[in-house]
Amino acid sequence: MKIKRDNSNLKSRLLLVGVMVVVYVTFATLSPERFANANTLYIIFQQAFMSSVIAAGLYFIIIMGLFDFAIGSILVFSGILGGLAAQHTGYAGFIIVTIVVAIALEIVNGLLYMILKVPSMITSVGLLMILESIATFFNDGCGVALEYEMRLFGRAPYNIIIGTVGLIIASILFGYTKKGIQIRAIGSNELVARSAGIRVNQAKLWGYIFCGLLVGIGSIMNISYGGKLQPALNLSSIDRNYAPLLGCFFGLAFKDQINPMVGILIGGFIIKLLTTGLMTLGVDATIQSVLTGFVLLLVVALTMRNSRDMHVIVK
Amino acid sequence: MANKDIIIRVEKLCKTFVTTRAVVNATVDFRSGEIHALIGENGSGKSTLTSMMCGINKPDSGTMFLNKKPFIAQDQIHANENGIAALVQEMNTIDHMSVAENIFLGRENEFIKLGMIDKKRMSRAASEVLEKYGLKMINPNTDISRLSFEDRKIIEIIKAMNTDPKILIVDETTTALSQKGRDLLYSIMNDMRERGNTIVFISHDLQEVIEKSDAITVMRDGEIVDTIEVKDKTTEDELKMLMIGRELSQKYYRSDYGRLVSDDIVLEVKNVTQEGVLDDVTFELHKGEILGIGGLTSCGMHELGKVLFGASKAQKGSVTVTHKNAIVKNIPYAIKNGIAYISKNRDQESLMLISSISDNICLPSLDRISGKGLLRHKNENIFAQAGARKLDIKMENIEQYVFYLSGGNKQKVALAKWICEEPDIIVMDCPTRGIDVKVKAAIYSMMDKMVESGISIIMISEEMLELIGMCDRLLVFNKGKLVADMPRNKELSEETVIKYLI
Repeated sequence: MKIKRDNSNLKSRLLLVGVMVVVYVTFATLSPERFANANTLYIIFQQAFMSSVIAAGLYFIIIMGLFDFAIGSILVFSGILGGLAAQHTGYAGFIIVTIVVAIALEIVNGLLYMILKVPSMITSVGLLMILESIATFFNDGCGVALEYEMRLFGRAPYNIIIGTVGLIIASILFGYTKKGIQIRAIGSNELVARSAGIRVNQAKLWGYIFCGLLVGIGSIMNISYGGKLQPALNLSSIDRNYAPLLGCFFGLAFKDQINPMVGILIGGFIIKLLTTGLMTLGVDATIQSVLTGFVLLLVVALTMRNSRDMHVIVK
Repeated sequence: MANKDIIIRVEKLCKTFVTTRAVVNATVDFRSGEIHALIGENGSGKSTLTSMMCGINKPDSGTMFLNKKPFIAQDQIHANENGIAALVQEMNTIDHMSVAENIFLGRENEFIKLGMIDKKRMSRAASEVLEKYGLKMINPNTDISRLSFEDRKIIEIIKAMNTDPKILIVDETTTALSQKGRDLLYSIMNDMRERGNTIVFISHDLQEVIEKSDAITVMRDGEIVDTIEVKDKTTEDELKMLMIGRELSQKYYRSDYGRLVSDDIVLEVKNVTQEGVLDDVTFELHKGEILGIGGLTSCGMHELGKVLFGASKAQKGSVTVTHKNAIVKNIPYAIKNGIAYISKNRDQESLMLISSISDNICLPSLDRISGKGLLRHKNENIFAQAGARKLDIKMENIEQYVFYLSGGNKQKVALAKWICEEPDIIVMDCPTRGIDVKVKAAIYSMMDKMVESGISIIMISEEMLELIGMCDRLLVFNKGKLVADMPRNKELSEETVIKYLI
C-alpha cells in the first residue's frame, strides 16, 4: 500500500492557517470595536506564547504515551519559589530558581511514576495535591508579588523573545537530539525502543526534564505577566492545564505535517482568539468552553484521517 | 471436483487502498466439500480478497454469490450469520478476559439470566467446547493472556468453529502453530470438508498447501493467475513459478559445501540455564559462521536468542563477547559490544509501524548519525536510504510509514535497521517467518554477503530445510537442552534432524 503525503502536508497547513483566519475574521466582524484592533491582536499573540511554551513541555510527556496533571501545580510552585528568590537575588536567582525547581519537580514526577509503577496520570494527581499544599507553607501562604522592574518577561517584546527561545529549544530537543528521537520511539512502540538498546526509563526521565525546563520558562512568563502568584488549592491548579493541553492536541494532530512546536503555537493562538473573541462578545463562560471543545474536536477529526485509514486504535 | 456445487463465487471483485490496487477483477469459485488454498507472495492480495469475503473490507466493485444468490458481507457479524467465519493472521483474542468470555464474545445474549450474564453457565459451556476439541487442560476461567501464543490461537479456532460455519477462512494460521496445533487445525478442516463445507486456506508453506488442499488458486499483484486442481500432481516449483511469474533466477539456499570457517571464536555461551526453559547450554560462535539453531517452538531456542542479546536474564551461566571479554548483561551493553537481534515478533518487537522507514532504520544507530552534535533529518534520510537500497526495500519514499509496507518489505526494514548498525554478531529469530519466496531468497543472499564480510550469524528457525540449506553448523535443541551439533553436510536430511527434535 502506498500513500501520498506531500499533498496532505500542504492541505493540513492550509487548514490550520485557514481555521485561524476564519476564527479571527468571524470575531472581527461580530465585534469590530472591541476585537478588531491591532492592540487586542497583539495581546492575544503574547498570551498564546505563554501557554504554548507550557504546552511544548507537556508535549514531551504526552508523546511518550504518558500524562501529566501536575504541570499547573508545578508552574505555581516553581513560580512562587522563583519569585521569592527574585526579591533577594534579582534576575539571576529568579530565572535559575524557577527553572531548577520546575525541573526538579518534574524529575520527582517521573521517578514517582517509574518507581511506583502506577499510571502517570494517577501519580501526577497525587503530586499535584502534595505540591498545592506545600506551596502554602512559603511566605505564610500569601504567595508572591513581583516588582515592576522584575517583570521584564511579562512585557513585549521580551515575553515574545523568551517564548520563542523556549519553543526553539523544545523544537531542537524534540527533533534534532538523540534523546528526542528516543522519546518519540518510546511513544511509538516501547518494546521496539527497548530492543534497539534504548534505556527506556532513562529516556523517559529526560522527557520529564525537558518538560520541566519548559514549564519553568512558562512559569517565569506567567508570574512576570501577572505580577502576583498565589498558592492554588483544592485541585484548582488543574485549571492551568487546559490551555496547554489543548495546544498540545493541535501539535499532536498535525505532527506529521508541521513541526509540532509550530502546531502548538498556532493551536494556542487559535484557542486564545476563540476565548478572547467570545469574551468580547459577552458570551457566557460555560458556552465558551462548549464552543472551544467543539472546535478542537472538529480540527482533530479533520486531520486524523491517516490513522483512520490504517485502522489504528485510538486510545 | 468440478461436479460439486459452487457454494461461494466471487466475481470481478476489485479493491483499492489509497493508491494501491490490492485486488483486481478477481473471479474464483469455491465449492462445497473442498479445501481451497489461496497462495501468492506477500502483498499479492490474498488477505484482502478473503477480508472482503468475511466482511472486514468492502469491495469497490464486483459481486459475490453465496449459494447462487448475490451477497455482500456488510460486516463480520453479517458474514458470520451467513455462515462465513475467519481466522485472521493477527492475534484476535482479548487480553484480561477469561477464556470462556473470549469463546462466547458477541454471543453473551445466550447466557443472560435476569439481565445479567450467568458466568457459571458460560464457563460450563466453554468447558464442554474445550473438551470436545481435546483441550481439557485449559481452564475456561483463566485470563486468556496467561495462555501461550499457540493456545490463544487455538482458542480462536474453537471460537470460530463454535458458530458452526459453512465457510471457514484460515489466513496463515498454521505459521503460529506447532505440530500439535496444526494437527488439531487439520483435523477440524478435514472434518468440515467431510460434512460438505468449504475451507479457504491461506499459507506460505507450499508443501502443506499441496498436501492438504483440493484446489489451489494462485494470486499475483492482486490478480488471479490460475486455479489448479491438486490431483493434477502439482509440484512446489510449479507453484513458485506461478506465484512469481518467472523461474527463480536467484539461487535459493547456499550451494557451497566445505567452506572453511575461521578458528576465531567471537561469542562464548557457557552453562546458560533458565529454569524450565534452558538447561546448561554451552556453545561457541566462530567468526564469519552461520550457526543454525533449530527445534520445536517450545524448546527454549527463542528464549536463548533473547538471552544472547541481554533481553532476558539467565539464572546461571554467561554469554561472553570473546575479543572484548565482555559479559552480556543488558541490551545496551550487548549492542555496544557488537550484537544485534531481530525478533520473531516483527510487528510487536522489531518495528515502529506508525513511524517512517527512516526513523525505524536509524533508531539503533543514532550515535553514529549524530556524532556528538545534533541530528539532522537530512543525514538520517541519507543513512536510511543507503540501508533501504542495500536490501532493495520497495517503498514510495523513505518517509513512508512502515505500516503500509507488505510483510516481506517490513522484514527487510527490520533487517536494514540492524545491518546499518554494523554489528559483528547478528542473532536472527525466524527471519523468514511468514515471508514469500522472493524476499526469502533476498534475505538468504544478504546473509551470504554478511558472513563474507566477517559478520557472524546465529539463525534460529523452526524450518529445518532452511537451517540445513544455510548453516555452517546446526545445533538442535530439545526441551531446553542442546542435543545435537552437526556440521554442514550434503547428506544431512530433514529426517535426521527431526529425530532429534522429538
